[in-house]
Amino acid sequence: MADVRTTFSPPVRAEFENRTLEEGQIGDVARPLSLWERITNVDAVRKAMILVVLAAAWELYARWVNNQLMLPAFSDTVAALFDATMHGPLVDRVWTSIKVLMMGYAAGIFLAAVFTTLAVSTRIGTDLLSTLTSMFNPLPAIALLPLTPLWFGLGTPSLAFVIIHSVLWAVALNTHTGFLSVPETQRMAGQNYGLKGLRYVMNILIPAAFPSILAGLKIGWAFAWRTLIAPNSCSAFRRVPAVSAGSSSRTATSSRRLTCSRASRPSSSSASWSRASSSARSR
Amino acid sequence: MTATYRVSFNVYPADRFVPLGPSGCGKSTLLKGVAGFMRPVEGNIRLQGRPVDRPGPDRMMVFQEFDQLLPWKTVLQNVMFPMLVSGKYRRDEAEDRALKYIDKVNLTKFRDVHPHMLSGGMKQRVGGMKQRVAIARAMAMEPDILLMDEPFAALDALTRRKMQEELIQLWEETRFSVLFVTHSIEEAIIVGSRILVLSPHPGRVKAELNAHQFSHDHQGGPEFMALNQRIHNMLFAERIEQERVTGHG
Repeated sequence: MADVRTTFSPPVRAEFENRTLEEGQIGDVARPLSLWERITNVDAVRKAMILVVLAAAWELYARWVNNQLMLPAFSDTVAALFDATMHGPLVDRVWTSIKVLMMGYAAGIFLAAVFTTLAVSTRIGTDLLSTLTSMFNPLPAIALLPLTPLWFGLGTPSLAFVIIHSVLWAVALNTHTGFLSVPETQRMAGQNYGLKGLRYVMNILIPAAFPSILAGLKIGWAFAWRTLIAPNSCSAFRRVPAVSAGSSSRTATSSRRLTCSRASRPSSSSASWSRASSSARSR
Repeated sequence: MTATYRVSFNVYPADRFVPLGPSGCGKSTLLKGVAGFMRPVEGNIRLQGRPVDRPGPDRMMVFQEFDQLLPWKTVLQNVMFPMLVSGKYRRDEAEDRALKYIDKVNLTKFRDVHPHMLSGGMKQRVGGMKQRVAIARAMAMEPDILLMDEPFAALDALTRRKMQEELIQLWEETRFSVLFVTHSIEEAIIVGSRILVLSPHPGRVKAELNAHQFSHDHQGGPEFMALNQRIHNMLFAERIEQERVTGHG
């Protein structure tokens, strides 16, 4: 075997040289896309297709179940939505909800900006933010709901408070994480230009950490909706006797409700006050 | 940790002053001290008589890392940015100066491109282009001194040589003062006019040597090789001596 290995050698091949083409002569190599490929390249088209499939599945299953109360069909739901929009108070209600949502969201973002600016400029600010976020971030807004009417009364301030709570920590945590992950070189470059304090945050940290901040804003947006919807769906349990003494006079005045919130359930104390809070809001 | 110990040197206007030493001799720390990111425990750093106590745009820094450019700004905006935020130039002035220096580093074609889109299709070329932008950005400010922290160390050999040539060409045109840190003896001799040889950790001054007479053309020549050997011995003689002692002992 050793003999074979020492005597074996690759064949000697002829040399050659190519004249290489200039880059300009080659140009862009491209293949035209088919119509189907071009259509499915549009994000909106693909997402619309998913929605259509989901709606079809819903409709088919609801017809098979055939129980309006447990699972209304897609077509019925659309009809109810249309009816409430055109003839009912839905648009008005939605506008009220969105106003509260926007107020809470804006205030939450503002507070998050204050906290994170403090956190990047001072060490005690960092400690403050990390302590507060680890305390309050896991605390669901719905857990604060029973207390807020006592603190702020019924109505917008209470709702705004829980929305701020749900937005603030998510946005602050993401923004701070984003700030910390800005490359050291970029920070030093910024300081090198003589930037510091708020100008340093505005000109270097915020744009450099923008992806994280945007992720935080998206999470905060989703949390704000959740927080807004939770008390609203509690208030959907109508015809509930008011239990909480302090708010009984106001709950009695409540007469508005969404047309789709038909389902009624026996009393539960948490349902009664949150109905009160949202009905007071809409007055 | 003591990075450098009682290092003292003077840089004159239009010097290409090169602190040179093995990795970990504290030459980067020294440069960060001059930039104002760190303060010396003992002694002081003065620029034109004023003590250095914080980072500032009179000492523009070029880093080794390619991520020193702001990725959300185009080449032109990156070069203009320090001129605008420092308030040293008005917007139209800043733009004129930026265009002039972008032209000097041969990137006029790419002035409206973002850093991550800079490409000639090759990774190495992108690195060189980003460093050119950083150099243009620093030089357009016309700082009292330009600080360069191993700016070509992450480039491939061909690009590095080209960048060294371009830097010397730029120096010929504008005669700026530069403090250029490197660990490559060859780069120090080619780029530098005066070399500060630092001993291994903690860095102390071993020697100050003249290298203004050498360029790429002298590479491989007898005098160039002699200087190279001389510095090499200074940096590594001690270690060889130590190894010999421990080896016999």
